[in-house]
Amino acid sequence: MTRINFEEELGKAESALLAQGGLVQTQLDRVLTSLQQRDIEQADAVIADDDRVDDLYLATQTRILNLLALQAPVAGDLRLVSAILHSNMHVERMGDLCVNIAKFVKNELPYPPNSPLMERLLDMGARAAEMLRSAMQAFAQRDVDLAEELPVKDDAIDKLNRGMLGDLKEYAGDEQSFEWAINLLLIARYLERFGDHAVDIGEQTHFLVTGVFKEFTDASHPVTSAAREDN
Amino acid sequence: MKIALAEPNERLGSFPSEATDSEPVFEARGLTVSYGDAVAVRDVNLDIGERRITALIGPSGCGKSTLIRCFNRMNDLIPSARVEGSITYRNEDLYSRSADPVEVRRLIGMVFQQPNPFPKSIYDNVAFGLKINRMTDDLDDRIEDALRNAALWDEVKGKLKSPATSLSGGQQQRLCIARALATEPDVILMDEPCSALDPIATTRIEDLMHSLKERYTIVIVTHNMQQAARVSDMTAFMSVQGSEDEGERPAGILIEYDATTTIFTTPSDPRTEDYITGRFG
Repeated sequence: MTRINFEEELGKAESALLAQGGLVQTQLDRVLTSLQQRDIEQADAVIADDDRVDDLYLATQTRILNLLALQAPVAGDLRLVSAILHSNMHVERMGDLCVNIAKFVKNELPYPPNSPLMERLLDMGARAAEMLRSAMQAFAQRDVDLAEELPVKDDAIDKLNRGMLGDLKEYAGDEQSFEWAINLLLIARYLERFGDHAVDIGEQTHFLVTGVFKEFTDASHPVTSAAREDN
Repeated sequence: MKIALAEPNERLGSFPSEATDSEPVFEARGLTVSYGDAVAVRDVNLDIGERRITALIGPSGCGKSTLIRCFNRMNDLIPSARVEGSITYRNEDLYSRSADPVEVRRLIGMVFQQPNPFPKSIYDNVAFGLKINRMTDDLDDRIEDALRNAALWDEVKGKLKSPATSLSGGQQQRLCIARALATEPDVILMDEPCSALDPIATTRIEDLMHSLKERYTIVIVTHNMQQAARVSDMTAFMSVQGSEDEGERPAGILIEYDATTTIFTTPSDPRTEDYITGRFG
């Protein structure tokens, strides 16, 4: 006895989630390039392609709701359905964060493309991209160890984000640079959030495999890297 | 004292633990039941919690019905049946020589797959067990209480003298539940009580079970896994071990017993997972 239709539908839902992750990966790469090169055309393309991300999100959402309504999944199937549903939302939000950055690029504010600030943002962006890649790989391969590395990677992005303020101090008092300086701070924040979503997907992988839902990091009781290593 | 699980499941912490936090009414230890040479159930260790609904699930032939029938000694009625190991009911040996089977079945009532009202009036069906057990004081009140508790009173109060067989299947099943409730039992055993009923009648029985568990301990055998998931606090998954092909006599065994939420979200045994997700066999 096997449930062929059910297995196929569940497989399609997971494939769509992984495809959406791949698409958002491309979106992030392109928006970082457009940020660095002040490339308006590329930024426009990122905004336009967010519709494809949203389409995948909606298709997965519908497929999962149908599976819940029609197939009453339980046990490992139920955990997979739940993990896809949650991760789907996180990946869609990561796509939205790319759009936010693209919109900033389109404003054509006179920010310096080559600066320690930009280096910091690109470093954060590369790390965020790597986190999404790891999160998707951990999910696809049911790799809890890889998922548990995500909060450690996230700490590095958080640290870079906190350093942003120091970089911006010299610009904040100047009326010319004030607007773009504030906006670059927001971009750092978007990339930091991007990393948080990847951690959340890692938590879903942990739940999927072990059946235990645990927050890797608790915003109200932050655990430092040093403390985590002690454990 | 809490119900002793065969294998304590540390993951239970993720889910509500009310299901397991209950005094055991029955404690089966090393329970093996045979019919002649054939072993139906082998070496079952299981506690049934007070005022909880415990579901027994598993494929055909796994011994669910045999097991549930041990709890009120219904297997005594089958000449070739042999029960080894022990079952205590409220710390008393259910199978001791001094245990009175009639009293056992008064305290531990049973409802079967097919509604089986006697060919008598609605009133006389409920009165039957009361008369046998000489509980005839306030007979009318007792009958009304039983019918109310079985959520049937409003539908039959104007026709108590009508034949029970004139009721619908779902009503007949609730009448059988009323008949069991009338003798003030402690436990109600239900062997696939809804498998002959339509979805609406099934929902009424399930709602009824939910209200009955305030006062009674319920054990239910069901083929419908979603029903087990909907109604029960604890689920025991049984399966068949051994096959003739492997030169081993097949017998029903208890694979996993845990809170229903745990069984249906994070079962410990891959055999449970395979069965409940429909990948069995």
